[in-house]
Amino acid sequence: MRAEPKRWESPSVRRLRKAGSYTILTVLAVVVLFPIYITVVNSLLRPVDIASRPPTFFPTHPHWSSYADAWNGGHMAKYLLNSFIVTIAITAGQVVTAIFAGYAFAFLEFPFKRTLFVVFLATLMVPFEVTVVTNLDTVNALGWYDTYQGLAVPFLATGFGAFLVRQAFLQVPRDLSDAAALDGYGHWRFMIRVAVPLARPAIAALTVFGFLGAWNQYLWPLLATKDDRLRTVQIGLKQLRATSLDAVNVTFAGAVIAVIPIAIILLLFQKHLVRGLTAGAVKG
Amino acid sequence: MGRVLLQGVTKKFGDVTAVDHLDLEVSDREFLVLLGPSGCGKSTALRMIAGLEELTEGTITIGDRVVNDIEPKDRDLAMVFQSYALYPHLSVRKNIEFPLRTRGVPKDERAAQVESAAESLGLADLLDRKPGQLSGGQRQRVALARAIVRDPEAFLMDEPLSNLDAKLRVQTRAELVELQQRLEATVIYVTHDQVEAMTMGDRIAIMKDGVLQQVGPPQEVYERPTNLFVARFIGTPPMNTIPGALAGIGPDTVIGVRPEHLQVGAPTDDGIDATVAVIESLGHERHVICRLADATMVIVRQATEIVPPAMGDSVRLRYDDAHAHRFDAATEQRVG
Amino acid sequence: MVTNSRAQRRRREASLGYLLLLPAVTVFAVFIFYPFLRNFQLGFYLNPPFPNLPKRWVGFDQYRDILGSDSFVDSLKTTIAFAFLTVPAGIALGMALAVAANRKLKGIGIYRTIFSSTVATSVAVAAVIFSMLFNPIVGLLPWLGVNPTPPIIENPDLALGAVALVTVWQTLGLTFILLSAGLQAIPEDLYEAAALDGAGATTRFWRVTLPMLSPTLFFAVVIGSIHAFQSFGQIDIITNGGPFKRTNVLTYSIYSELTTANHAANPGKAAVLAIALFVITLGLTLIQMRVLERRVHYAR
Repeated sequence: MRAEPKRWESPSVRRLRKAGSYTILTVLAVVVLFPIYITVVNSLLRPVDIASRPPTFFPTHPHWSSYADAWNGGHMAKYLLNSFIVTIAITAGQVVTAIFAGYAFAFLEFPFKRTLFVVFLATLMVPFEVTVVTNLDTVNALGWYDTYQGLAVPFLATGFGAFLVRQAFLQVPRDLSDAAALDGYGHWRFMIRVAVPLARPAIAALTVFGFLGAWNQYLWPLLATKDDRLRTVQIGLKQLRATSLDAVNVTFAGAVIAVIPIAIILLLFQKHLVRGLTAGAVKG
Repeated sequence: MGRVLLQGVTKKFGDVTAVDHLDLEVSDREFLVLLGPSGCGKSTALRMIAGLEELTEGTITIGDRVVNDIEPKDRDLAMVFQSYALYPHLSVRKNIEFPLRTRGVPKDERAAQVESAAESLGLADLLDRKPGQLSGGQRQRVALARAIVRDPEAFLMDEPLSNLDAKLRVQTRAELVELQQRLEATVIYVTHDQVEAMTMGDRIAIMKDGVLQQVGPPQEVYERPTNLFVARFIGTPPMNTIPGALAGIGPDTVIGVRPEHLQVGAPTDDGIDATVAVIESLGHERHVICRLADATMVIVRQATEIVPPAMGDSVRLRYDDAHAHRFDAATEQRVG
Repeated sequence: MVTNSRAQRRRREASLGYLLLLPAVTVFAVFIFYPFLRNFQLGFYLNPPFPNLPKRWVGFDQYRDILGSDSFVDSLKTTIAFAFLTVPAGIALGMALAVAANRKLKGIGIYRTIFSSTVATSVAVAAVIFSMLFNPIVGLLPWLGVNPTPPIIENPDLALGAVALVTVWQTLGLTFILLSAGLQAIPEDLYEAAALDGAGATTRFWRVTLPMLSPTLFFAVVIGSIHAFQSFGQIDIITNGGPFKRTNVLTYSIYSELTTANHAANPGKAAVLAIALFVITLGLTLIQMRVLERRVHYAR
């Protein structure tokens, strides 16, 4: 926190200064929140009212039917389910592969360890967009087009995750692994019983980070699926918008539905996300 | 059968020789202290016994089997670390139980053993706490409890008291010795603190630069140090060394005299010329620090009943030949 | 009790190491390194205008034709313009939010949550919301007087800016969280020392806050630029690369070559564009590191 200058101020000056801070903060908050607010408002209006001028900012008679329309007619329920399946698979995969690789890099000695670590870091230099051409062929060849595995498998491991967990494992005191070796704990048991519990903050950060990234994917689900039954929320939302202006309230409702699960998760795990981001900053 | 035998044990890290042909025998139920300044190789030697470092050369025998190729967990040793190495996410109970779980001890038996180990170290009320909620002394006891619950062939301890405050250290020192007697355990104890070594060890092994300097009971090491390094390292304040030329026996010899064996005499007495530089009073005794003709400083321990000299006085220092240690000035080895 | 020679133990440890790396290495090999390398090979072949005809080897001709074409240069210019429209504005706004929220006031936690709220939105959500706000019939921007002809997202002069606005808003939460964490990591005694030296609020910002924050800012610029070069969803939803390809950024052009909407899919061309995207991203990272590193005050 910023240290305020410690000179004497009369109570009225201090009150004025405070009021100024709150005014600035509130104006900024309104600007940031406005698009989300108007989305919620519009989702509760009839299309006619949305188009009427001046616009309605405070709906007095909310119409909730748009949510039912988005949920059923707009298939948002199915899209959400698909997103959850794919996102959970990707997140779990990323966490497990990161723990495994992080453990190998932090606790084991083997030939070509440094080279392999550089290979892991090199993956961070290749944007996914660069690999889509062939990945589409690969997924087709494996018969994975329009399948959950086609959506999830390419993302089951990340260099970032392995790096993050390795750093956390390196913080585990050497004495602990020595003590465990004397006490008869092999590598697997030490990893599961000691290393992973001690690296919990980093693993939690990776989990939130991975979840967010997987949930928000757009290009790959668009390329790798055609069947509406396998579309994820992000792609589904695009289709919802494409329908027509007569149902514009349904589109807004769909956007709200798409945001709610991730908003809940973020509110619950805000701290971990911040930690994951700052870990990246220290690395960079 | 807690005998530990080291024969020609050597450890090289690249070009650096951390431990150089160490021969050492620790008998059953013995409390052996490995003593030396930091970087002398004592911790490396301990870690090799534990199996945490591989030997470059030599053999280590525990009981009657050579353990060079035996994994740490199969050596039947328990180790107490300087940092205590407690698992921060586990309760005290789980920490103490940890080594038993891996050995397939049945649950009821485990609980009983944990209870009794905790009881004997006064930890019974702390079993459900996490290490983070304990004081330094309590953590140290948990580390001990985790070691004794195993009933191993020998205990290895790596500076286990160095993270305690001075008062607690003195108390724990005595408790450790008592514990060792009660368990009839073999202990190999690493420290850089010569007071710990003197007070706890049945024998002391002193190392310097990876080389063993002397092994023997504390009194013997104190009374007959084999070289100047050991002479200076053992005892507080340290042994005075007086150039032979000043002592009138020629430049090839260095005389070592402990502070309690020097007396301050009048300038007209026989002895070595000196000037009183500083007088430190410790309450129960006094240190008279004198400067010799070649600027060497020597310390004289004096009882408080003796009338002190004044700072700046010219004095003569005397000692009994029986208490004078002679060392070769070139090799620093004991002569006679 | 098991006796193992040293060599055996080493071998076992190494095998475990490789086993633990295997899952990740497999994914990397199949879905990152192989497709990355295959791009170069694909680039040598020209795909026929009709399916079922054989591909034709054209060697470096395809690279030359594509990378020298007007459409590629235009797309590159668009992408760069997009980065310049999003990165500085995004960081400036994020910084404003972070500084405003870096105060000890009652209820500041609520403001922080609001400022980070856009992380809950995805690119697709933001794009859908804003495309509605831009809409001339139901949108608010036209009502507020921003009502050009042709309408915003069909307007060659405004479309890219509109997409950039969506991007800045959507990434604002992330930028805020990042810069806030950086601000909070600055030790308070530095401000106190500066205050004792007689520095006012402005001096403290320029002399203490900015230099101490520079590693975080550096990271934000690099990540922001890389994200800008990979932007796709908002363009696909709002403009489809139009009008007149004015929002046809590189990633969108790769996508266009892969989908069969108007013409036969051309993986060869897409591959060459992907290589270009990779080289630019890599070069950008390296240049930024080199240029910024000199001015970055590494506090850690």
